[in-house]
Amino acid sequence: MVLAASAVRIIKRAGKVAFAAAVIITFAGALWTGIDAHVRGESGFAKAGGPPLLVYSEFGSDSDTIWSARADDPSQRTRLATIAHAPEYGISASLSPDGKRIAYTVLLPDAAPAIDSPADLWVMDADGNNRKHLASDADLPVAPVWSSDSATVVFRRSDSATGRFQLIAATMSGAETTLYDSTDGLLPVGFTPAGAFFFLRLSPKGSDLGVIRPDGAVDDAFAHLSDDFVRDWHLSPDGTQLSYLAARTVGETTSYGAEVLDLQAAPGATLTASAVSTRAVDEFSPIWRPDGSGVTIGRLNAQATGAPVLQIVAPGGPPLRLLAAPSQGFDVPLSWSPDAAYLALRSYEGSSVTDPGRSWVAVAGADGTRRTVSPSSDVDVLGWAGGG
Amino acid sequence: MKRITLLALVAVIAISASTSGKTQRADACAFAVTPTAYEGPKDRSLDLAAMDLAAFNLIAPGNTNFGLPRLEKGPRQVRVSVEPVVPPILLKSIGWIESSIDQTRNSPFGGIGPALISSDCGHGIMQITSGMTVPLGTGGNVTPEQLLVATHYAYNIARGATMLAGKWNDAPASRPIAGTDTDGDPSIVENWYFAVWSYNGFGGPGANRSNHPLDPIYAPWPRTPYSCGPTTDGFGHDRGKYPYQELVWGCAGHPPVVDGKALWQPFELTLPDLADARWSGPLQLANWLAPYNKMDIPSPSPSHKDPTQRPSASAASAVLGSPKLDVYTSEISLSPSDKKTPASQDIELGNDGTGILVWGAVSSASWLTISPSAGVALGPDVTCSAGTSCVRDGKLTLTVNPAKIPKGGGQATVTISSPQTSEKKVLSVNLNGSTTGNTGVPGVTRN
Repeated sequence: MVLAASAVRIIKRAGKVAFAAAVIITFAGALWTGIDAHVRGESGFAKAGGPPLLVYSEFGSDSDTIWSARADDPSQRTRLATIAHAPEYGISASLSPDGKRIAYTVLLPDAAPAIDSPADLWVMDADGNNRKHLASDADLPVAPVWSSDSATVVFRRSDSATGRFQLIAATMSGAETTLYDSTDGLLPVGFTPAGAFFFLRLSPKGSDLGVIRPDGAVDDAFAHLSDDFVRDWHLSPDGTQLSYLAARTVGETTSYGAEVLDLQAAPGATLTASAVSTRAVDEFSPIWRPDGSGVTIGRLNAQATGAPVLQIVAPGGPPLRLLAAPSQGFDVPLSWSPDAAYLALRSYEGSSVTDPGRSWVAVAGADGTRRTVSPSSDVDVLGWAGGG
Repeated sequence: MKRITLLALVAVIAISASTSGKTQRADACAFAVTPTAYEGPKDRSLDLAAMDLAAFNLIAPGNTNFGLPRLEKGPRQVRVSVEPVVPPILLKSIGWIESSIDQTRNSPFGGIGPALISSDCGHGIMQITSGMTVPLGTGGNVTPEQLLVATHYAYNIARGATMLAGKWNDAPASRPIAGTDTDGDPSIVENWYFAVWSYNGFGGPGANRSNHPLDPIYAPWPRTPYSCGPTTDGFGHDRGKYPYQELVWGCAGHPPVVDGKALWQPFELTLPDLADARWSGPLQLANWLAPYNKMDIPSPSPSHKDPTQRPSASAASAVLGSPKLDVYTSEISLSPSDKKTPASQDIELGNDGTGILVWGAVSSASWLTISPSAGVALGPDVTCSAGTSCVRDGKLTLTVNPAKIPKGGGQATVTISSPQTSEKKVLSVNLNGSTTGNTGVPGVTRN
């Protein structure tokens, strides 16, 4: 499918919730058994038959630690790797779709501690063994993105002198291929199972989605997502839809709302994104259910009274609550376990985007119980092992 | 539609190859050899006091490099200048973010050690880069200003304050105004939002130094406020996840703790309310175009003023002292043992006055090198940590390169000067005629 650039403007359909299949979530226990095609494989440290293991990195001033923790009891955790880095600048990591490797960008300890210091791209087995340097001059804050077959990672390289950005694919042997090069701000989005690579292009004109298809065809204006910033994008497990947050202003209030874009429109058709909800409240992190049946979002309370809650969204009906409201603050979903039995989330003490307060990562079970993963707020969830 | 075959696109680059111009090696900075500097006590009391002084323009008022320029305020079209005061809390927070308020690298507190120079040529506490990438003096030598920035914490801080004030004054010509509802009053700390942003860089969308609060390069969303406090305080600590100004704001409210004590009283600052169109509107992506004249915002509310009292003039005198250069010898002789082996001689110099003396040394001959060519010497009033060897004198090593000696030997001079006092001492270096004799005179020490 190749789409003309002129035909890919998104039309936001305010007041109407569409893409029912994309957003339908039910919380029936029987449906918590979805399969996540992105985190399916058994890794060396995940035991068959056990509960899924949450894999996460925990920031430290001079080194980050990668842990695996039991979903049903995160206090039972195993240190997988310790990665030394320049003071105060942690790694940006991602787990491969087969769960066997972790790629990360890092400022080595002797590098200048600055966000634009040239970082290194490394890969290692998920158990922390076999570390290998893949590339230099990577951009630290841009986490590498894995191809669906776990054979390559895409990282970003930029040159402040020329203002150019490059998205580069690196094989596990370190061979590099420049996928796209631009003076627009580029950020990798992800690969579809079919091998298409999506990326975001930022410019004063807005946020545009580009794609490089498996045959190498590039469409750098596949879809105009917004005239403003978008963020927190997630490809659906089957690669046919993209969820993301887009800014919307109603009166004096600006909020980020979750939207879903169908990536499989007929050739020449106008791509249309649907708002998951039309309410002018902040929504967060529209992550996909493991089986791709819909998205889960965090949402602030529309009435601004009482505690905001994490909600799952069912179009055409009232929102379904996944969890009881936290004692204070609000929740943001991060990642479902492959068996959909657990949800990693970040719980904020505050009451708004402007004042989110302290936060901690927790794992919520089907019974609604939540267990804090770490006493540190500085936790990045990389994915899951086992539980598929 | 571009059609690009991946294989045809392939630019396989060797792992070690670098296409980036992002970094410069430290040895390409102003100093060929890292100078020495003084590191104050661990509680940063001297540094924090100097920050208060610099904020009130008491370090070097009127000096182009170390004095604050008058600050502009008012509406975009009608700017007026006012007496310069930078909120001290911003200098403290920036200093911690930039260097953990360290003027040296890995030196004991309360002593002399190698100056902190990062690989991008950031110098000292405020990580001054501008004007510090190459020597700017005549003959390839550093200037007095470069000497002071690299070696003296108070001048380094003053330079940082001056630069921050300069960033303030970049508005409205090339930067937005914060505080459209408060007359752009520089006494309101939150009105320094864009100046602090600019102190680190005003990069474009998606850039590492974009520093735009809505840029998706900074994840996750919403961002837990940044903290310079303990890593288990429930706030964020990974600096790579924050726009620069949020680091500074967060550090002000959650100060670093040293030996169980916060370095300053928590000072909660307010960021622009990104859920309110009065702030999110101007900050939308379409407005992010030079000269950024559509990005003006009201003061983030509630706004705050820094309650720090103006220090007395005597406080400045105490920090700066009254240094006096003393070179303990006026003439030495060096005799390389052969034509291949360099001959070296250490020279010591002291501060017969008070405070921190900054010195720089210049050789008149290419065959005579000086290492380091700049540094400090401490007066008796300067804190020297107990438990460490308290070396107050400065030391430099002269080395003769026999391969460069002109036929028949030669004579050179080393000029040692202090940018603070304008004193200048000339040291004669005699090269013994024979290059096969013994290495020169015994070490010169203080009598």
